Amino acid sequence: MIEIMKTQTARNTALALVGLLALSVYILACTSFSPDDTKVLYPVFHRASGALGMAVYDRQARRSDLVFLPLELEGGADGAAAANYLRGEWLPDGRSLLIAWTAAKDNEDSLDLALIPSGTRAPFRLFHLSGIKEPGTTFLAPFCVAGGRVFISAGPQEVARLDLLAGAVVRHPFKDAGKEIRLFPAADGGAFYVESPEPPATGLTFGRLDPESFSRSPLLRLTNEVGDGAVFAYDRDGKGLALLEKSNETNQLVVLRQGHPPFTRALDAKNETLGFGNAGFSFEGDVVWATFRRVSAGKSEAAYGLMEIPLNGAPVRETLLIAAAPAGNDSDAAFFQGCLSHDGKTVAVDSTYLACLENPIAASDCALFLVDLSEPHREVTKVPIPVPAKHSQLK
Amino acid sequence: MPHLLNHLFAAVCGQNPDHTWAPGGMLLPCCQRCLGLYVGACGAMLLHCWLRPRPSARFLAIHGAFLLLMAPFGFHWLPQGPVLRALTGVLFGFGLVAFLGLPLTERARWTHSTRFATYAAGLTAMLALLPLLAAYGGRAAAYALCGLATGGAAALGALVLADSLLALAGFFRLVRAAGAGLGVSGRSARTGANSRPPASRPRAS
Repeated sequence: MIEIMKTQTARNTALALVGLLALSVYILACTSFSPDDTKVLYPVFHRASGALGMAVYDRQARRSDLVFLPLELEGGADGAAAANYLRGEWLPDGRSLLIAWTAAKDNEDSLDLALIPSGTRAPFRLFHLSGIKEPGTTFLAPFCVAGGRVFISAGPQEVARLDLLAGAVVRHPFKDAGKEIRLFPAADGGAFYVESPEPPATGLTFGRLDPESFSRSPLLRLTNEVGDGAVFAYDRDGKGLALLEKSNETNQLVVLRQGHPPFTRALDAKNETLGFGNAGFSFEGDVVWATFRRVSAGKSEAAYGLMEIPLNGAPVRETLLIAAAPAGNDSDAAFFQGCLSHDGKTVAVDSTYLACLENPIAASDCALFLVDLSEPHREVTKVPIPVPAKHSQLK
Repeated sequence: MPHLLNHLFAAVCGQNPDHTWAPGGMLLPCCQRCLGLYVGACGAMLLHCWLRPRPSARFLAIHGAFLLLMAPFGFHWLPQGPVLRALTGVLFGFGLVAFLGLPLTERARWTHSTRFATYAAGLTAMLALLPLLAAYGGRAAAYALCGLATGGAAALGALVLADSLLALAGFFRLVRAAGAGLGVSGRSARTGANSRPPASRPRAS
């Protein structure tokens, strides 16, 4: 009896160890199958041609590698590279990069996309979409990717859905969409939409879009007039919408949440011009972050940075990234955009396009800025982006 | 609370949003596979505590197969969608609880039953209900799943901790036994031919 028990004990111990090993392997493996925030995709200049391309910065190795370079040379003796708008995103599985580009001064209504494998062996896919009106709007916001398909705005009231695996394109006109409809990615892999009504109606509607049927389910509705150039953000669940807009010559933040009264907060200081590039909610949804451009009255220089606006009325926090850039135009703020990491601890902002403007920033200010939100003093890692003497310029 | 769970599960799950259900619009704190694992573990713990199934050779073989099933799916050797991810997670959870619980049930000298049919019915119900709740349930389903996943994670943690303590206790027992063994052999030498009884201490007068 004692021998049987000893055998059973040994067996049970061995099987428990097997269980423990299986659990350990599972937990270790699970976190490596997903986007892990260790790499950042951002636009850079190609040294030899001066053209804009996309690079990947490895935060652990502290090293950048150029991964994509669309070259379109202009005619003429110099053969300078034509400027392209470029935007890149990681697909949710972390195994592919989706990069879109179009020539900045191209009058053709077309958009090119590349699906590039990262860390896996898979084909490199190129797509050329024609019939895309105002392709430049594609680069103002993150791609809406849902279920292996990307949604591109083909016009004010039309969307093209491209299947990244099969290459099939479905175009869907929103007949009752009002003035404009734009699509945005949802954290759960779905899609949100923002719809602006036809004048004289004002405001906007934010809601969920079914990626299969294109049906819309409104979640939040703003009836007040929304200023031109307003920047907005939404939280992970789509239950909160933040709007950074100019109202009566004053910049303000308006936050709408389901079941809560609207929250409004003025942001301007006296005698300054403030503009925003893009914005987002923090991981916890209690702060709105935004990239900003500020020109103080009487100054001929602009400052660029990251603003964090707590929704509980606590003081606004600013992290200055470029202290003195040429003032340029108010619309230059749109070329200074950031992105929040999946874990909510870092905002990555690049100033590449500011170096392509008619009044470009100094070469020393052209960089990828990684702002550590987990640090109380907001440590900034500045990854320089070398600017060749001859490089792309937006004209 | 959902944000706290997001932080807690971030330690053990990649939380790929593309592989995460959002019942009622609320993104769950872990991916479909991990949801299956932790909810499955919770269900398995409840069934084990209620039914106390006998760990027969066949029972252990089946649960061992549940563990092995994770390999082709976890390493993406086979194509899979959201439901298959969750189901493999549930089976894995059942396998883990069955194996990790063995030393504890032996120590507690459980009286096992043979109500395997009821156990199987519980497992089948879990396999059927979890994907339905997660994909089509509302906000209440989201909270329920969060609670079950948290319970399952806590159950697995408790099992691992209990097994570790038992292993530690067993190790100390072995060390003590080894030490006592050395002491017994010394006394045997003293009781040999040359041994003398200890002299008594003289008393003070």
